Amino acid sequence: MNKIPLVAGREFFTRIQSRTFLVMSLLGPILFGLFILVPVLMAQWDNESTTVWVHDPSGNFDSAFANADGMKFQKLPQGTLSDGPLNAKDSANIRELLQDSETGVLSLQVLDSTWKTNIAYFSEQSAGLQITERIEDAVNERIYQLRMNQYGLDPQTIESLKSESDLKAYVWTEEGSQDSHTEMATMLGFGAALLMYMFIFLYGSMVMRGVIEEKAGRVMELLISTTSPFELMMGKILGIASVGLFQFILWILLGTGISTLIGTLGLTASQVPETPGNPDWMQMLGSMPWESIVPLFLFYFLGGYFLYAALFAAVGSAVDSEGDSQQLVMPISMPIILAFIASQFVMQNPHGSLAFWMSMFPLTSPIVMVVRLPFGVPFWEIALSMSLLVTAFVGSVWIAGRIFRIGVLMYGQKVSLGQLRKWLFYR
Amino acid sequence: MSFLEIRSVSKSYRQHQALKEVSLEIQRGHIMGLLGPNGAGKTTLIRMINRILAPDSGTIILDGTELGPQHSRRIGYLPEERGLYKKMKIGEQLLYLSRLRGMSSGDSLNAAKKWMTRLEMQNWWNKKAEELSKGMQQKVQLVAALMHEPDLLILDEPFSGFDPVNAQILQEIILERRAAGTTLLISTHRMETVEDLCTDVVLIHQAGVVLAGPTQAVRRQHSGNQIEIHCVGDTASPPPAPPAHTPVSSSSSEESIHRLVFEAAPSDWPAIIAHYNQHSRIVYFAERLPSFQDIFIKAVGPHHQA
Repeated sequence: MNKIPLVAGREFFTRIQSRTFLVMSLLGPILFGLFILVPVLMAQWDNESTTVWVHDPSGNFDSAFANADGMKFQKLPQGTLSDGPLNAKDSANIRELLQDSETGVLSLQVLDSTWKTNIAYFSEQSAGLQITERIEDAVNERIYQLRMNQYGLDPQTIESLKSESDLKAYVWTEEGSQDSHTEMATMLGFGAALLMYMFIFLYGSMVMRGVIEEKAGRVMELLISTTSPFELMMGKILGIASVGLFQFILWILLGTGISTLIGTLGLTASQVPETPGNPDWMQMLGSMPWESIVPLFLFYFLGGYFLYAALFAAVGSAVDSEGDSQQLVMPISMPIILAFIASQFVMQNPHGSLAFWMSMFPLTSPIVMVVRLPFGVPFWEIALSMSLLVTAFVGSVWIAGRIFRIGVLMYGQKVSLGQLRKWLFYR
Repeated sequence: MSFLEIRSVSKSYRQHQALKEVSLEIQRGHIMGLLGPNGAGKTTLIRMINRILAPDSGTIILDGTELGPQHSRRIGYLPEERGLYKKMKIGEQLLYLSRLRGMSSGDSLNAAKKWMTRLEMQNWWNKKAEELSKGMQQKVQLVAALMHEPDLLILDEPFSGFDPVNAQILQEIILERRAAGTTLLISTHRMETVEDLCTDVVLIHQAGVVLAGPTQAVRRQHSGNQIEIHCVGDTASPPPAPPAHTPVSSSSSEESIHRLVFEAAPSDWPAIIAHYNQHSRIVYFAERLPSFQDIFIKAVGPHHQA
């Protein structure tokens, strides 16, 4: 047991001194920022110059379309297309118009006096949801106005009739009602689940690669002649956990640093769109039950990581090279991915039976429970889930230790799951 | 009392019995050569002494106590699978490996410096293993086995991969360690290593001990009672053979030195010597001991597929 700190120390110090670690620590926050920014920017650049030719024989929709978000609307000169239903000659004309790239033709045929209208849109490529929705909305809005005029209604009066009430959800507890902060809880839970997912995969597979490296580099024989396989495995898992935590802390510090820097440069106000009407985030942040959530987050973080890292270590010990590990990694990654996918549904229904069972099952509980925690989970459920996780962790370390001890000495064998099961019961 | 004692140890893998009731003893300060064809069970035995594998049955006693984790500090091991961390500095690897053996960090540092100087690699501290040649890496591994000055030093094929200069240094170190009281177990396929260095020898074949004992005694056991006489006579042909004995082989050099080999019971040797002493001048006489090469092949069988 006394060699675990030594092994963990080597893992920690050699890894944080490596160039990869430095690069990842610096690039991490930048990549993460890009991860968020790029889709936003791409959405803005997309459809930059789609020109839509509007064929509107009735002339009622002149004012309906505004040029915005990369869509330009132009009235088609009178007589280009026939006023009635489109015929074969029109088809040829439309094809002519679509010769220019990024062009669409919109035909509006008012059918009767109630402004019932046929809308047809032609383009070279199938029209995106963004375009069709915008056109539909604009036409419907215009028809709405036209109909109001027809009935002699004042648009302003109609506008003032609309109501936009937000639902506020409260949780009834012994101390009285509390805000349930559904949005905040959702964001918090999902963010934590995402971190959890990344942590398990990034650092769990690092454990696996570390074992493979020692095995492939043939240092293993020397190591296990001085240390028990269990100490070696635990040292590795703990050392890499510290690397992960250290890296996360660095990322948080760097990320905060960068965002503060951007803030002081005065970019925030102009670049980031304000969200008026949203509740005060700071106040909501302050009112979350942090003192119970944070320790539980940490517990599930470490519990989930240890559980999986032990299994990853076992896989690493059983194969000769990373290429061979794929088929054994699959069964391990399935529950993680499943839990992550399920967490999207759990967010919507944090107290349903899917949420309950998946937050009890140890292979999925670290991710699913973390999603549920900010919504408030009964004490007995947390206690049960935690004890199941601890039991599973002990079990997985036992299993991994048994496999590890045999696996590290096996070279040149393609190992199947069936063989791994046999190794468990070797003397 | 022997320093290392292996008592009827058995080990089997799935369908294959690697060792069956193997027993052997090494006295303190002796150098035992562990011989055997590939796949005979040598590596299994070495791994059990290093506590990498546990025997199915039997016990291993080191210096009077049953082998346990506390012995890690007292054993040095150069595995046949030579390996180091590729990206780690040599100095740091040595410190790590010796600290795993239970040395304090201060002692490790001194020992690493001392042994690196001894093996003329003092400038390698900051080099990474991947920058070194295979033979150079082997020297690093040798240092890792020696640094904590173990009481039992296990070397698996220590000479393979070394050039003659380094092989010479290694041989010096082995003898020096022995003089300092270290017990050595050397697994090797090089028979001259056994003849030059080992005080004792054990040959494992098909999971069991085929022969064991002090090197000279083992050779004598297999001698076949041959003696070799070189004598100088007056004539170009050898002197007449003694009555009742015909030489197994006989040859003469240009200087009329005759080399004769007899196969006879040791009780007949004085008569043969007396006969040649009378008819010529004896310049060389020796009991003809077989080489370990011969003993090995005889024991294992010439057709054994290695």
